[in-house]
Order: sequence, then C-alpha cells, then structure tokens
Amino acid sequence: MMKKIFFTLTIFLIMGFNSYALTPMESIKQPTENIISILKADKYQTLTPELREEQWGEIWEVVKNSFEFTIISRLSVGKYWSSFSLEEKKEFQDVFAKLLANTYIDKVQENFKNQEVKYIDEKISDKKAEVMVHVALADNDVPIIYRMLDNNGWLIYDVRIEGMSMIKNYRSQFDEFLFKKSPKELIEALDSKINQLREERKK
Amino acid sequence: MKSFFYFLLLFSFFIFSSSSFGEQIMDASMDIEDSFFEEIESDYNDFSPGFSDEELLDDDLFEDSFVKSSQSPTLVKKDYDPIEPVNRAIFNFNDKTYIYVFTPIGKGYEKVTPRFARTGIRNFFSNLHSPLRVVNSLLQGKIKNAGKETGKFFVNTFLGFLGFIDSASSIEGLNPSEEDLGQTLGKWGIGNGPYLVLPFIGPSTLRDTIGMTGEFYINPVYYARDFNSKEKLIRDGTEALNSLPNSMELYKTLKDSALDPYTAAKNAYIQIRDEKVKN
Repeated sequence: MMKKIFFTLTIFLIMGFNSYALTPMESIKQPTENIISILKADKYQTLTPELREEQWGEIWEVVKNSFEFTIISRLSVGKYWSSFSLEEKKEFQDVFAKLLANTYIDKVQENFKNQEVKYIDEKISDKKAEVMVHVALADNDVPIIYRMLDNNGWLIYDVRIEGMSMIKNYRSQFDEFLFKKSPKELIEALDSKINQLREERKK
Repeated sequence: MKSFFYFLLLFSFFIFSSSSFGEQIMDASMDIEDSFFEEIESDYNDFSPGFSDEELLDDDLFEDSFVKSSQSPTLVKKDYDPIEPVNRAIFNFNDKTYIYVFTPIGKGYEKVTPRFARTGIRNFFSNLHSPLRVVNSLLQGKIKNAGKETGKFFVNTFLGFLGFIDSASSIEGLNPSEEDLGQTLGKWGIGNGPYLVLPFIGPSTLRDTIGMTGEFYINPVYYARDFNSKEKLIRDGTEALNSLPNSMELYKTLKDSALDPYTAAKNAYIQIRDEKVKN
C-alpha cells in the first residue's frame, strides 16, 4: 500500500518537474493559475507594504521562468543588438526584465479583481507557438496572444494585447533612443525609470 | 521505510535537477548566437503549412535582428509623424491635464458611483452608438457583422433596459467586431496619414480624425432627435466622464512601462488601429 502511494507520488513529481513536456497552452495555464492563486491567497487579502513585497516576490518567481528574457531583449533592441558588448547585453537583459516586472506585476497586484481567464486556442509549428487567452475585464474580453518558442520548454518571447505587439512597441522606442545614444545610456535610462517607479510606489 | 528513503532520494534529485535546469536555459540562451536565431528566422520564413489562420502566426519580428553593426545605422521611422514637435507639445499638455485634472476627476467619480452603474452607463452609450457601427459594417461590406450588430442592438435595447445591460454578450453569435468610420476609410484603402495628437483626446491620425468628425454626420442617433446644445453637452460629457477611470488607468500603465511615453503611445495607437482595419 505504502509502496503504491510513493510510486504514484514519484510519478507526479516526475511529471511536475519535466516542464518541457508541457504543451504551449499548458505552459501558459500553469503559471497563470499559480499567479491567480497567489493573488487570491488568504494571507494577502489585506496588503501591508511588507506583504505586498512578499506577494510581489512570489509572483516574480513564477513569471520569470515563463519568459525568455534573452530573446525578448534581443528582439526589442533589434538591429542595434550587435553594437552591445557582452557585458552590456547581460546588463540590459537584467534591467529590462526588471522594468517589465516592475510595471506589470504592480498593475496585476493593484487591479486584480478575480477576472476570469479563458484559454481559447493554441497553434504550434515546430519550434514556435501561439497561445490565445481572453481576460474578462468589467467592460469586455481582452484578447491576449502569447508568442512562444521551444527552448527546452515553451517560453514566451512576445505578448500581443488587442493586436499590439509589446516587442514592436519597445523596439520603436529603443530604435529612436539608440539612433542618437549609446547602449550604456539606454541601460542607465531604464535604470532611472525603475528607480522613479519605485519612488512613486513608496508614496 | 525503505521506500520512503527512495522517495526522498528521488525528490531531492528532482529538486536539484529542476533548479539547475533553469540555469542551464539561461546560460544556453546567453551563449546562443546567430545560428539559433537564424534557425528561428528560417522557421519563421516557412512558417505556415497546416495552419488555418496564417495571419495570426505571421511574424516580422525577426526580420531586422540580423543587421550587422558595420552597416551604417539609419533611423527607419515606420510611424509617419511629420509634425512631431507640435504633437509632442500637445502630448505634454495632455499629460499634465490627465494627471492633474482628469485623473482626480475620474477617481472622484469612481468613488461616488458603484461599479455596476459605471458598467451600465458604458453599456448604454455603447448601445446608443450601435446603429453607427451597423452603418460602418455595411460601408465595409460586412453584411454578416452588420446583422450581428443589429441583433445585439435589439436584444440590448428591449431585453437590456435600453442598453444598460449587455444581455447580448452571453449569446453566442451576437459578438460583432466594432467598426468605426476610421476603419471604414482604412478598409477603402486610405492610409493612416500623419500621426496627430489631439488636445484632450490624445493619439489619432489624420484619417481617424476625419473619421471621427464624419461620425457626427452619419450617426443615425443624432438624427433621431434634435438635441439642443445643452443636452448635447450633458450627453457627451456623461459619456466622457464615465470612461475616465478606465482611460486614465490605461494611460498610467502605458506611461509607467515606457522609456519614451510619446513614442510608445504613437506606436501602440498605430499598431492597434492597423489591426482593427485588417479585421
């Protein structure tokens, strides 16, 4: 009897950790449901600043494993990527991931009101895939498309909201910036943006 | 007891392997150089067979990631913006207005109205503009969409208390895409034209501004009853006020996440409009 239970448990563990066996849609659904359960957790129902930070950290742990930040960085910078030194590439990737996390996790924390997420469709072609979900806001369903690639597991490299690609949006900004300024200045500008947001949050 | 030991052993193995697995991905992707990207790019190039919805998977993100730095950099402005200095000035004016006037008003309004009232008012105005969307669907030759829109209008007007309740939203098949005159002009082959930032209203293009103005003349609702100017002010003011909380929240998100909010707003507007014209 005991043996049987442990056997089943082990099977579950293997299945749980072999995340690369998940389909693209499952790779979206699992972390999404995780985040929702963190947002709904009893201990976070009244958020003190400390609890807020703790919750933020928990969400970040889930989010960071779902995104392919290297490729996100590279695609956002586009043609200027090769003018970054290896050091700058790493720094940029860190600071850009931080900016994305800072703005969007904050928004989710502020605005989550038990919205329903519907998993609509997935399309797979060899190493790339798209997963479409609908988030039911008060007014209407907002369509979100996650673009993913298979790098030992399905990871997100672009998010399209209402037909707007986040990567393209950032690229339009970085293009203009890097036409006049250096990669180093871009990293500094993003860094000061993060600090500015942090200051605002404390107020 | 023995099996418990095995279990622990297995457990720690998986914990260990999964954590090092994550690092491996990061290391690998830090190292992956052009070969990996070229592979993705070539994937992208022949990336259609077997899919019904090719457009969804169409992806030009990888196109210009491979320009080497030896090539002299040129700034390719994709979003046509010939009067950028003027636009930027209006954008900054709007920014101040949004932060110091509209946001406080929106917050105050949010406080004194329950959520269902705001949703109801929004639904009411949306339903009021439904005939206009029918006209635009027809102008674009979307007969089926016009039918859906008409059905939705009747269901919501008669079963949804003059549109306050969006009863049609739960009915399968009564979910038309929302068409406006700017999209109609786009469908007819008219491009965005210069990007414009309108005072108070925000991002637009020449085409969409003309479309917005034109809607005053083709909206059937405006012909149904002769509003005097005071009534018009109340009608349009209520609609604008009711949409403030959401619009201001959206604006703040955009501003917070952007390196250059002006460029971000411009690109977002044009991307979303292009997508709407396409569909």
